[in-house]
Amino acid sequence: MNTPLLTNTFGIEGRVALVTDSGGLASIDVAPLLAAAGATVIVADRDPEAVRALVAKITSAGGRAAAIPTDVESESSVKALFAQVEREYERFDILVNCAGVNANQPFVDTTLEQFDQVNSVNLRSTFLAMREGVRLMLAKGNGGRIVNITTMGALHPVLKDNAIYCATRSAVTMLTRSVASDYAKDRILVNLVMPGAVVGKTRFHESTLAAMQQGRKLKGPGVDTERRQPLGMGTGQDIASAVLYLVGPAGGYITGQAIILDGGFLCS
Amino acid sequence: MENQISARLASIYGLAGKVAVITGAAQGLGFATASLFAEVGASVAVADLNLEAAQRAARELQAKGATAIACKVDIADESSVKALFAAVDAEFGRVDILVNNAAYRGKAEFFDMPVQEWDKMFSVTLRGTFLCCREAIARMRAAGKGGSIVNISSVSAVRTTLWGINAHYDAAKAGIDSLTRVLSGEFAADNIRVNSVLPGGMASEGGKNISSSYNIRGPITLAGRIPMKRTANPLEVAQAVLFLASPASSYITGQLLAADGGFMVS
Repeated sequence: MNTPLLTNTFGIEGRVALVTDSGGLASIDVAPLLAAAGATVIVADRDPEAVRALVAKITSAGGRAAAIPTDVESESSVKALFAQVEREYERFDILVNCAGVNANQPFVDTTLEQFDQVNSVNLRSTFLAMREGVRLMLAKGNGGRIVNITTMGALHPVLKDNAIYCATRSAVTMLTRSVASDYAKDRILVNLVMPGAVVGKTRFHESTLAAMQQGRKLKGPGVDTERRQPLGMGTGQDIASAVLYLVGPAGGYITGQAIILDGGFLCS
Repeated sequence: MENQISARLASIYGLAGKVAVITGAAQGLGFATASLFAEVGASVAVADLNLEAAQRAARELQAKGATAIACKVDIADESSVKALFAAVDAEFGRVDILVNNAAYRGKAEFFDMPVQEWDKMFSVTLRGTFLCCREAIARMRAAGKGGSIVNISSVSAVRTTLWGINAHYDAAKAGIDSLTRVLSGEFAADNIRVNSVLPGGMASEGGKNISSSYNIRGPITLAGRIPMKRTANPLEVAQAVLFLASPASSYITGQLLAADGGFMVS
């Protein structure tokens, strides 16, 4: 085993990375792996305790991490986040947008307020973080990598009663591809990771949690694990490994692409 | 810290103890893949139509401490493919990874294309990939330890890249992607994963030979159509192959991954 080659191919030592969200499976596995691969990882999320817990998990394993509590839905909060990153770090290399909310409820019962809330987390917050992130990467002048973690549900209905989640996540696909096209010349590479049956990759909206507590069960092709998930369930580690590949040296010629982590669902 | 990092990376992206069969491995992307796989711990069967070139390539890997054998294979010939896998059985007793990289790279004007040219493209590129997949999957299933197959397709399977001379190549590569999807669904229950890597413009030996003998024109050759403003070197594409061959992608099957510098979004 050629260990220098491995670190030269997949390692990100010395890079500064920002991960949004701190509670979903994506962030709680992605942030520690980026740190284990050598990056300094900034964790940004609304819940200060969750952010600090994730940072503590990273630092206790010997990694470098910092907590910056941020409301990713607030333009001023996101701007303050990136201003702090610019002040406190010499470089800015990697942005991973993990924040998301899954609101599972019948389409006809969805209120406009719920639509706006879901859209605010899934699309609008991604736009805000990407805009500020690209601005900072351009200012630093060293290129950069952005990975947006969405869902296989942006390609194909996986659960019933999930239209707004899928639609707002699907919009992130063209945001990703368009920004990839716009900034490839600046060596800013932008890609998607789209997990399927990875439970806990995003949070559930309060309305969905309340309905589930009252006994409502998730339905749809994705819950037919026997026939539609031939590789079984995925894990947050699967997401993290794909993200690290994309943000490390090995991902240097890949932009505007989607890595679909669906355990074979789309071919089932 | 350095050792900790590499140990972690090895557990995710390494191929220690794995046996990989790579076709068309004497030069270009195939050789870059064979070298990279060997460096991260795989034993490699360097299979190529040109046995002498395969032997040279295998010796180069061995000189760096890798376990490698050279095999002659004409993937268009069923008995030759069977002989390749028999040689791998004899040497290693198992197959964990297959990279279907060998392909016919001929070009022909659409109206002037002799049907023999069309047939040669499909007999090598698609039929040959089928033959290698069949032999490898039979062994992977029998061993019961899963496996990973990476088919080298092309962005030209999903987008027009060249005008006028590439219909048979593009169609054969699209056929490979279809094979990727079908086999992934069929053998996921055996934990055998099948994915495609789609290179865009790449400065490999095969590509250079073609550029010198045909008038190459088409979208991918136009100024500004590759947003990253450069072609790939084979190692960059080989790294995508490694990602899909390694434990890092253990939940990914039936997928296409383009390493194209942004061509598909240009």
